[in-house]
Amino acid sequence: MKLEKHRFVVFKFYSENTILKDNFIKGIWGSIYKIFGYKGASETGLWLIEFDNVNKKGIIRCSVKSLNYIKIALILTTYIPKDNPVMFQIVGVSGTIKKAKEKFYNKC
Amino acid sequence: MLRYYDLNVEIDINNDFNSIAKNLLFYKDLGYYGLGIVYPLNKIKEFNDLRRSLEDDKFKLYSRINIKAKNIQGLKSILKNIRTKYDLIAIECFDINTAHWAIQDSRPDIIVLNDFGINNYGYSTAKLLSNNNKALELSLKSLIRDPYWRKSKFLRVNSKIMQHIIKAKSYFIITTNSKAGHIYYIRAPRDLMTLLYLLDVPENIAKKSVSEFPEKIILQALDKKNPNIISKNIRVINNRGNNGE
Repeated sequence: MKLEKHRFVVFKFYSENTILKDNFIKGIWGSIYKIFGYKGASETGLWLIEFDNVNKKGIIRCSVKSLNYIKIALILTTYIPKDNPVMFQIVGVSGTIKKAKEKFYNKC
Repeated sequence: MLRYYDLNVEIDINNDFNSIAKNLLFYKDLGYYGLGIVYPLNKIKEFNDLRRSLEDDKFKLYSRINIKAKNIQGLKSILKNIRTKYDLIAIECFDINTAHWAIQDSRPDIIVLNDFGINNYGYSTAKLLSNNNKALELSLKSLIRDPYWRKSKFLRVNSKIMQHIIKAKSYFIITTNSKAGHIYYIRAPRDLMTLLYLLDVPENIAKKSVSEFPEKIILQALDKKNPNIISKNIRVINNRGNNGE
Protein backbone atom coordinates (compact mmCIF):
# COMPACT_ATOMS: atom_id res chain seq x y z
CA MET A 1 0.00 0.00 0.00
CA LYS A 2 1.30 3.42 -0.95
CA LEU A 3 1.97 5.71 2.02
CA GLU A 4 0.01 8.95 2.15
CA LYS A 5 2.14 12.09 1.73
CA HIS A 6 1.88 14.75 4.38
CA ARG A 7 2.45 18.46 4.70
CA PHE A 8 3.29 20.37 7.88
CA VAL A 9 1.55 23.72 8.24
CA VAL A 10 3.16 26.21 10.62
CA PHE A 11 0.79 28.86 11.92
CA LYS A 12 0.69 31.63 14.47
CA PHE A 13 -2.32 33.27 16.02
CA TYR A 14 -3.42 36.49 17.67
CA SER A 15 -6.05 36.39 20.41
CA GLU A 16 -7.11 38.40 23.43
CA ASN A 17 -7.13 35.46 25.87
CA THR A 18 -5.01 32.33 25.89
CA ILE A 19 -6.40 29.38 23.93
CA LEU A 20 -6.24 25.89 25.43
CA LYS A 21 -5.03 23.03 23.24
CA ASP A 22 -8.35 21.15 23.54
CA ASN A 23 -10.33 24.23 22.57
CA PHE A 24 -8.09 24.78 19.58
CA ILE A 25 -8.63 21.20 18.36
CA LYS A 26 -12.41 21.50 18.80
CA GLY A 27 -12.41 24.87 17.04
CA ILE A 28 -10.41 23.76 14.02
CA TRP A 29 -12.40 20.53 13.55
CA GLY A 30 -15.65 22.53 13.89
CA SER A 31 -14.45 24.92 11.21
CA ILE A 32 -13.53 22.06 8.84
CA TYR A 33 -16.91 20.34 9.35
CA LYS A 34 -18.80 23.57 8.70
CA ILE A 35 -16.91 24.46 5.53
CA PHE A 36 -16.15 21.10 3.92
CA GLY A 37 -18.54 18.68 5.62
CA TYR A 38 -17.81 15.20 7.01
CA LYS A 39 -16.53 13.91 3.68
CA GLY A 40 -14.01 16.73 3.37
CA ALA A 41 -12.99 16.35 7.01
CA SER A 42 -12.34 12.63 6.54
CA GLU A 43 -9.79 13.36 3.81
CA THR A 44 -7.72 15.83 5.81
CA GLY A 45 -5.75 13.44 8.05
CA LEU A 46 -5.42 16.30 10.50
CA TRP A 47 -3.00 15.92 13.42
CA LEU A 48 -1.76 18.57 15.81
CA ILE A 49 2.02 18.25 16.15
CA GLU A 50 2.94 21.31 18.21
CA PHE A 51 0.86 23.91 20.01
CA ASP A 52 2.43 26.70 22.05
CA ASN A 53 -0.20 28.93 23.65
CA VAL A 54 2.42 31.17 25.27
CA ASN A 55 4.17 32.19 22.05
CA LYS A 56 0.90 31.67 20.13
CA LYS A 57 2.10 29.33 17.39
CA GLY A 58 1.77 25.71 16.31
CA ILE A 59 2.25 23.02 13.67
CA ILE A 60 -0.48 20.93 12.05
CA ARG A 61 0.06 17.84 9.90
CA CYS A 62 -2.36 17.11 7.05
CA SER A 63 -2.51 15.17 3.79
CA VAL A 64 -1.17 16.81 0.63
CA LYS A 65 -4.57 16.71 -1.06
CA SER A 66 -6.30 18.58 1.74
CA LEU A 67 -3.63 21.25 2.30
CA ASN A 68 -5.82 24.06 0.97
CA TYR A 69 -8.78 22.82 3.07
CA ILE A 70 -6.72 23.09 6.23
CA LYS A 71 -5.35 26.51 5.34
CA ILE A 72 -8.86 27.82 4.58
CA ALA A 73 -10.30 26.33 7.78
CA LEU A 74 -7.58 28.05 9.83
CA ILE A 75 -8.02 31.38 8.06
CA LEU A 76 -11.81 31.34 8.45
CA THR A 77 -11.72 30.49 12.16
CA THR A 78 -12.70 33.68 13.96
CA TYR A 79 -13.65 32.62 17.48
CA ILE A 80 -12.12 29.97 19.82
CA PRO A 81 -14.08 29.36 22.05
CA LYS A 82 -17.27 31.21 21.07
CA ASP A 83 -16.59 34.51 22.83
CA ASN A 84 -12.86 34.86 22.24
CA PRO A 85 -11.90 36.46 18.89
CA VAL A 86 -8.88 34.92 17.20
CA MET A 87 -6.95 35.45 14.00
CA PHE A 88 -4.73 32.80 12.40
CA GLN A 89 -1.86 33.45 10.03
CA ILE A 90 -0.19 30.73 7.97
CA VAL A 91 3.56 31.17 8.38
CA GLY A 92 4.67 28.41 6.02
CA VAL A 93 4.21 24.88 4.71
CA SER A 94 6.86 22.19 4.57
CA GLY A 95 7.14 18.52 3.58
CA THR A 96 9.13 17.43 6.64
CA ILE A 97 8.72 18.32 10.27
CA LYS A 98 12.45 19.06 10.60
CA LYS A 99 12.35 21.70 7.86
CA ALA A 100 9.06 23.09 9.18
CA LYS A 101 10.67 23.71 12.55
CA GLU A 102 13.96 25.06 11.14
CA LYS A 103 12.50 27.37 8.52
CA PHE A 104 9.28 28.61 10.12
CA TYR A 105 8.42 27.47 13.64
CA ASN A 106 11.65 28.50 15.38
CA LYS A 107 11.71 31.86 13.58
CA CYS A 108 8.16 33.05 14.26
CA MET B 1 10.01 40.30 -3.59
CA LEU B 2 6.29 40.83 -4.13
CA ARG B 3 4.57 43.87 -2.67
CA TYR B 4 1.14 43.25 -1.19
CA TYR B 5 -1.69 45.76 -0.96
CA ASP B 6 -5.07 46.16 0.75
CA LEU B 7 -6.77 49.14 -0.83
CA ASN B 8 -9.79 49.33 1.46
CA VAL B 9 -8.90 49.94 5.08
CA GLU B 10 -11.45 51.78 7.18
CA ILE B 11 -10.14 53.44 10.29
CA ASP B 12 -12.06 54.97 13.15
CA ILE B 13 -11.01 58.60 12.92
CA ASN B 14 -12.32 59.28 16.44
CA ASN B 15 -9.60 57.06 17.93
CA ASP B 16 -6.40 58.67 19.11
CA PHE B 17 -3.42 58.90 16.79
CA ASN B 18 -1.34 56.23 18.58
CA SER B 19 -3.99 53.52 18.47
CA ILE B 20 -4.64 54.17 14.74
CA ALA B 21 -0.90 54.03 14.06
CA LYS B 22 -0.52 50.83 16.08
CA ASN B 23 -3.30 49.12 14.13
CA LEU B 24 -1.91 50.22 10.78
CA LEU B 25 1.55 48.94 11.73
CA PHE B 26 -0.07 45.57 12.38
CA TYR B 27 -0.82 45.44 8.65
CA LYS B 28 2.87 46.06 8.01
CA ASP B 29 3.78 43.12 10.27
CA LEU B 30 1.43 40.90 8.29
CA GLY B 31 3.36 41.70 5.11
CA TYR B 32 1.40 44.52 3.50
CA TYR B 33 3.35 47.15 1.57
CA GLY B 34 0.55 49.57 0.70
CA LEU B 35 -2.81 50.43 2.22
CA GLY B 36 -5.69 52.47 0.84
CA ILE B 37 -7.10 54.37 3.81
CA VAL B 38 -10.69 55.59 3.67
CA TYR B 39 -10.72 59.15 4.95
CA PRO B 40 -13.36 61.92 4.91
CA LEU B 41 -12.47 65.13 3.09
CA ASN B 42 -12.48 67.32 6.21
CA LYS B 43 -9.86 65.08 7.91
CA ILE B 44 -7.36 65.01 5.07
CA LYS B 45 -4.89 67.03 7.16
CA GLU B 46 -4.90 64.32 9.84
CA PHE B 47 -4.35 61.73 7.13
CA ASN B 48 -1.29 63.61 5.89
CA ASP B 49 0.13 63.66 9.46
CA LEU B 50 -0.45 59.92 9.72
CA ARG B 51 1.20 59.35 6.37
CA ARG B 52 4.24 61.44 7.30
CA SER B 53 4.82 59.56 10.54
CA LEU B 54 4.22 55.99 9.29
CA GLU B 55 5.49 55.88 5.73
CA ASP B 56 8.93 54.49 4.92
CA ASP B 57 10.56 52.45 2.14
CA LYS B 58 8.59 49.35 3.08
CA PHE B 59 5.21 50.83 3.91
CA LYS B 60 3.01 53.26 2.00
CA LEU B 61 -0.39 54.80 2.67
CA TYR B 62 -2.83 56.09 0.06
CA SER B 63 -5.94 58.16 0.67
CA ARG B 64 -9.18 56.73 -0.65
CA ILE B 65 -12.78 57.84 -0.92
CA ASN B 66 -15.81 55.60 -1.37
CA ILE B 67 -18.63 57.11 -3.42
CA LYS B 68 -22.11 55.61 -3.57
CA ALA B 69 -23.54 56.51 -6.97
CA LYS B 70 -27.24 56.26 -7.70
CA ASN B 71 -27.26 58.25 -10.95
CA ILE B 72 -24.80 59.65 -13.47
CA GLN B 73 -25.56 63.33 -12.80
CA GLY B 74 -24.86 63.01 -9.07
CA LEU B 75 -21.67 61.12 -9.75
CA LYS B 76 -20.42 63.73 -12.25
CA SER B 77 -20.87 66.57 -9.78
CA ILE B 78 -18.96 64.72 -7.03
CA LEU B 79 -16.10 63.54 -9.23
CA LYS B 80 -15.45 67.03 -10.54
CA ASN B 81 -14.23 68.23 -7.16
CA ILE B 82 -12.34 65.32 -5.67
CA ARG B 83 -9.97 63.82 -8.24
CA THR B 84 -6.99 65.86 -7.13
CA LYS B 85 -7.71 65.47 -3.42
CA TYR B 86 -7.60 61.66 -3.15
CA ASP B 87 -5.16 59.06 -4.41
CA LEU B 88 -7.86 56.47 -5.05
CA ILE B 89 -11.52 56.87 -5.96
CA ALA B 90 -13.81 53.88 -5.48
CA ILE B 91 -17.37 53.85 -6.75
CA GLU B 92 -20.23 51.68 -5.61
CA CYS B 93 -23.03 51.72 -8.19
CA PHE B 94 -26.72 50.91 -7.85
CA ASP B 95 -27.68 51.15 -11.51
CA ILE B 96 -26.12 49.40 -14.52
CA ASN B 97 -25.93 52.57 -16.66
CA THR B 98 -24.13 54.44 -13.88
CA ALA B 99 -21.75 51.51 -13.46
CA HIS B 100 -20.89 51.44 -17.15
CA TRP B 101 -20.48 55.22 -17.23
CA ALA B 102 -18.18 55.10 -14.19
CA ILE B 103 -16.06 52.38 -15.78
CA GLN B 104 -15.63 54.40 -18.98
CA ASP B 105 -14.89 57.70 -17.23
CA SER B 106 -11.21 58.41 -16.63
CA ARG B 107 -11.48 59.60 -13.01
CA PRO B 108 -12.60 56.58 -10.96
CA ASP B 109 -10.06 53.85 -10.22
CA ILE B 110 -12.03 51.09 -8.54
CA ILE B 111 -15.57 49.75 -8.98
CA VAL B 112 -16.86 48.09 -5.83
CA LEU B 113 -18.73 44.83 -6.25
CA ASN B 114 -21.90 45.18 -4.14
CA ASP B 115 -25.19 43.25 -3.99
CA PHE B 116 -26.45 45.10 -7.06
CA GLY B 117 -23.29 44.21 -8.98
CA ILE B 118 -23.46 40.56 -8.01
CA ASN B 119 -26.86 40.26 -9.68
CA ASN B 120 -26.26 42.52 -12.66
CA TYR B 121 -22.59 42.50 -13.71
CA GLY B 122 -21.87 39.99 -16.43
CA TYR B 123 -19.24 39.36 -19.08
CA SER B 124 -19.95 42.70 -20.81
CA THR B 125 -19.16 44.62 -17.62
CA ALA B 126 -16.02 42.55 -17.09
CA LYS B 127 -14.87 43.26 -20.66
CA LEU B 128 -15.57 46.98 -20.19
CA LEU B 129 -13.42 46.94 -17.03
CA SER B 130 -10.65 45.24 -18.96
CA ASN B 131 -10.75 47.74 -21.84
CA ASN B 132 -10.68 50.74 -19.49
CA ASN B 133 -8.04 49.40 -17.05
CA LYS B 134 -10.35 49.67 -14.05
CA ALA B 135 -10.39 47.20 -11.18
CA LEU B 136 -13.33 45.44 -9.61
CA GLU B 137 -13.07 45.23 -5.84
CA LEU B 138 -14.25 42.03 -4.22
CA SER B 139 -14.64 42.13 -0.46
CA LEU B 140 -14.03 38.90 1.46
CA LYS B 141 -15.59 40.42 4.58
CA SER B 142 -18.67 38.28 4.21
CA LEU B 143 -16.59 35.11 4.03
CA ILE B 144 -14.77 35.94 7.27
CA ARG B 145 -17.48 37.50 9.42
CA ASP B 146 -20.91 36.34 8.28
CA PRO B 147 -22.79 33.22 9.46
CA TYR B 148 -22.33 30.01 7.47
CA TRP B 149 -25.54 30.13 5.43
CA ARG B 150 -24.50 33.51 4.02
CA LYS B 151 -21.03 32.25 3.23
CA SER B 152 -22.41 29.55 0.96
CA LYS B 153 -24.48 32.11 -0.93
CA PHE B 154 -21.43 34.36 -1.19
CA LEU B 155 -19.40 31.53 -2.74
CA ARG B 156 -22.13 30.59 -5.22
CA VAL B 157 -22.77 34.08 -6.63
CA ASN B 158 -19.22 35.35 -6.54
CA SER B 159 -17.66 32.35 -8.24
CA LYS B 160 -19.83 33.12 -11.31
CA ILE B 161 -18.60 36.71 -11.46
CA MET B 162 -15.00 35.63 -10.96
CA GLN B 163 -15.26 33.37 -14.00
CA HIS B 164 -16.40 36.36 -16.11
CA ILE B 165 -13.56 38.49 -14.72
CA ILE B 166 -10.95 35.83 -15.45
CA LYS B 167 -12.31 35.21 -18.94
CA ALA B 168 -12.29 38.95 -19.77
CA LYS B 169 -8.76 39.30 -18.26
CA SER B 170 -9.78 42.35 -16.24
CA TYR B 171 -8.16 43.56 -13.05
CA PHE B 172 -9.70 42.67 -9.71
CA ILE B 173 -8.53 43.32 -6.19
CA ILE B 174 -9.50 41.63 -2.95
CA THR B 175 -9.86 43.19 0.44
CA THR B 176 -11.13 42.34 3.89
CA ASN B 177 -12.81 45.75 4.45
CA SER B 178 -11.37 45.53 7.92
CA LYS B 179 -12.01 48.22 10.41
CA ALA B 180 -8.50 48.68 11.72
CA GLY B 181 -9.84 49.04 15.26
CA HIS B 182 -10.46 45.29 15.40
CA ILE B 183 -7.37 43.37 14.32
CA TYR B 184 -9.03 39.95 14.42
CA TYR B 185 -10.86 40.50 11.13
CA ILE B 186 -7.68 41.37 9.27
CA ARG B 187 -6.01 38.61 7.25
CA ALA B 188 -2.49 38.37 5.82
CA PRO B 189 -2.25 38.88 2.03
CA ARG B 190 -1.14 35.31 1.33
CA ASP B 191 -4.07 34.03 3.38
CA LEU B 192 -6.49 36.11 1.30
CA MET B 193 -4.99 34.52 -1.80
CA THR B 194 -5.70 31.09 -0.35
CA LEU B 195 -9.37 32.00 0.20
CA LEU B 196 -9.78 32.60 -3.55
CA TYR B 197 -9.35 28.83 -3.95
CA LEU B 198 -12.98 28.63 -2.77
CA LEU B 199 -14.03 30.79 -5.73
CA ASP B 200 -12.14 28.58 -8.23
CA VAL B 201 -9.61 31.30 -9.03
CA PRO B 202 -6.26 29.90 -10.26
CA GLU B 203 -3.34 30.48 -7.90
CA ASN B 204 -1.32 32.72 -10.26
CA ILE B 205 -4.28 35.07 -10.77
CA ALA B 206 -5.08 35.05 -7.06
CA LYS B 207 -1.53 36.20 -6.38
CA LYS B 208 -1.91 39.09 -8.83
CA SER B 209 -5.10 40.27 -7.10
CA VAL B 210 -3.18 41.29 -3.97
CA SER B 211 0.06 42.39 -5.60
CA GLU B 212 0.25 43.21 -9.31
CA PHE B 213 -3.29 44.49 -9.98
CA PRO B 214 -3.50 46.91 -7.01
CA GLU B 215 0.00 48.20 -7.83
CA LYS B 216 -1.07 48.99 -11.40
CA ILE B 217 -4.21 50.72 -10.15
CA ILE B 218 -2.19 52.86 -7.73
CA LEU B 219 0.35 53.87 -10.38
CA GLN B 220 -2.46 54.84 -12.78
CA ALA B 221 -4.23 56.79 -10.03
CA LEU B 222 -1.10 58.71 -9.06
CA ASP B 223 -0.53 59.60 -12.72
CA LYS B 224 -4.10 60.96 -12.90
CA LYS B 225 -3.45 63.07 -9.80
CA ASN B 226 -0.21 64.46 -11.18
CA PRO B 227 -0.94 67.83 -12.89
CA ASN B 228 2.06 67.39 -15.22
CA ILE B 229 0.57 64.32 -16.86
CA ILE B 230 -2.14 65.33 -19.29
CA SER B 231 -3.06 61.87 -20.57
CA LYS B 232 -1.47 58.42 -20.71
CA ASN B 233 1.50 59.33 -22.91
CA ILE B 234 1.45 63.13 -22.74
CA ARG B 235 3.42 64.81 -19.98
CA VAL B 236 4.38 68.48 -19.36
CA ILE B 237 8.17 68.60 -19.18
CA ASN B 238 8.72 72.34 -19.26
CA ASN B 239 6.16 75.00 -18.33
CA ARG B 240 8.41 78.06 -18.47
CA GLY B 241 6.16 79.63 -21.09
CA ASN B 242 3.40 80.01 -18.50
CA ASN B 243 5.64 82.01 -16.21
CA GLY B 244 6.48 84.48 -18.96
CA GLU B 245 10.19 83.55 -18.95
